[in-house]
Amino acid sequence: MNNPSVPFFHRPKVVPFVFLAPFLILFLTFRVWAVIQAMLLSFEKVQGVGSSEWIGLGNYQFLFNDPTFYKALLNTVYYTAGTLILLIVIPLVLAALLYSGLVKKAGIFRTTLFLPVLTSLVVVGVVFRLILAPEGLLNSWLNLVGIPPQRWLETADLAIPAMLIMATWRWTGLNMVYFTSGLANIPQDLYDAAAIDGANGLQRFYYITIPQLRPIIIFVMTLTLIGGFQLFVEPFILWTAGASPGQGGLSIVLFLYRTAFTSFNLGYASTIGVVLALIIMILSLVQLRLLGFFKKEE
Amino acid sequence: MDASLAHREQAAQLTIGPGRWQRTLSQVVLTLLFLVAGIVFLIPFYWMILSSIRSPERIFADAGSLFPSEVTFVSYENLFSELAFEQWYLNSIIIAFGFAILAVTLCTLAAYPLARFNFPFRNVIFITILASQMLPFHMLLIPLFMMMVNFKMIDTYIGVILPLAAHPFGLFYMRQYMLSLSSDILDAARVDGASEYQLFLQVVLPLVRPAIGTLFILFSLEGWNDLLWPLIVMRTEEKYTLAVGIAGLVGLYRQRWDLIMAGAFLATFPIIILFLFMQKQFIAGISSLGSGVEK
Repeated sequence: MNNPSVPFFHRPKVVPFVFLAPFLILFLTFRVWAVIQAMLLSFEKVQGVGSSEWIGLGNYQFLFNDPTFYKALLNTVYYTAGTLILLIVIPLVLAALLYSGLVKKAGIFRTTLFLPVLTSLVVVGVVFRLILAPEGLLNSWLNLVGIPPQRWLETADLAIPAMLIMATWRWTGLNMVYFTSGLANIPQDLYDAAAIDGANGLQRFYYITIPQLRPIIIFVMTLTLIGGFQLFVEPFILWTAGASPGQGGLSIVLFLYRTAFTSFNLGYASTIGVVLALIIMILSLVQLRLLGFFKKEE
Repeated sequence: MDASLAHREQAAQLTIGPGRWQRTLSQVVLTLLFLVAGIVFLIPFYWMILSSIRSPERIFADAGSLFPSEVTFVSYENLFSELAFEQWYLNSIIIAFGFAILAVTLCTLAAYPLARFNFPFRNVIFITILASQMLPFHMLLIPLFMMMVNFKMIDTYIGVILPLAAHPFGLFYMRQYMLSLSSDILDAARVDGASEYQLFLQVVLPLVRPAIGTLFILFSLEGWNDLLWPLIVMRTEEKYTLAVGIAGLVGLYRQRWDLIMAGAFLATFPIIILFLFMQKQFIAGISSLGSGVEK
């Protein structure tokens, strides 16, 4: 075993790195190196690939005085806040109801509600352009209950609500799967004990289900939050090349994309990316704190 | 009669007499509620099919009506005669599977030493990779685009696949799975004189097959549906994926909704059929992602 002539690739100190090498090489090239480049670019004025000029904090100064950035930030926060409510409450309630055993053929409903998760956001976008059209399905249904038709995709103030309708359809089934797996881990004794104490269904949901699901709720909230801030494909498809009325659907990533690939202002686009990363990192750290990491410090 | 006894009787009443009746009623109401929800969730799929078999001029004019005024497959004929649609399909298949195969291979290889070996810098490496997950991919868009230009990877499959293949989440998931393997089997194989590489191929790989399946499904779905990165790398029409191609049709000044809807249907339904066949693995895989964080 301790033969000094162990071939190089079989030495105990070498073996782990042989396994790690392919991943690490790509990781260092396309993540670590790219992050460094992104940060450097954010301090440069770049017109096209190859010509750049160091301008210090110029891009940052411009960004913090750019009304378009604030518009995009506000829209993104509005959309994310909406998804944090809709995509937690609706899937949680639906998952709990399906899990209660009170619904016949629960499996079929679970499958049906999951199907949208499989679709490409591009496809979701084109289908919803038809559904949200002035003569489209949503308006004809609203008409049935006496609500006048809305110009969903032509009104600045309706851009985010339109995307929230779409998001609810697209993501509810996914979050239900997470919540269902959490529900399956709640010990049945807790419910039995509560039933003996005379707690009704609603009380059991509030006092047992929600506290027991806390870690999974925070996990789903984190995913929803990060996903919300990365909003791009939805407005890019709902409005041709993302040109929404009154910039009502402009998100931070869409702003970044257009700055880079329509205006070819690659330095400024990197600055937007760095600021977006900072926002997401701060929010993720807050979420991790809520999850109970960093507890040692207390 | 003390209070707890009263409660107990109340609870007992729920299972007999009026309780059973109440239960049936709520069963009926809830099942109906889910029936409505299910129909609402299926409508966009129905709309996709419906719009693709309407006559092209009527797609927007009839966008509110539940049935087509006439059924025609002219949209599909146009799709194949006017566009390189088969090529887009092939590109999507190559990218989805190429990405999944490469990413699963890298994650499985890298997860093994991180889960089962002690070596210098192990924790630093793992935490750095995990922390990078917090950075949005969009931050890297511009440097990666410039690298693709410099490496001459614009308009290539490898340019779409390679930059995203070192998948931090996939590594994390695989490492968690490998941590749960029993050491006894591995030690037994070591005593038998197997090298670490033989051990990995002959013992570890068969044991982690379920995790490989889960990641493969998730990664190929990700590769199939992704828009942003292939949109940036693939610049000529013959290289488009389905998502990029359909997005391009939406971006035209005169939009051809016949082509868009027929393309959308053909891009979606194979995935739905595959899902219905492999539903168990799919859902089990996704559920396990959620339960991973509870520990």
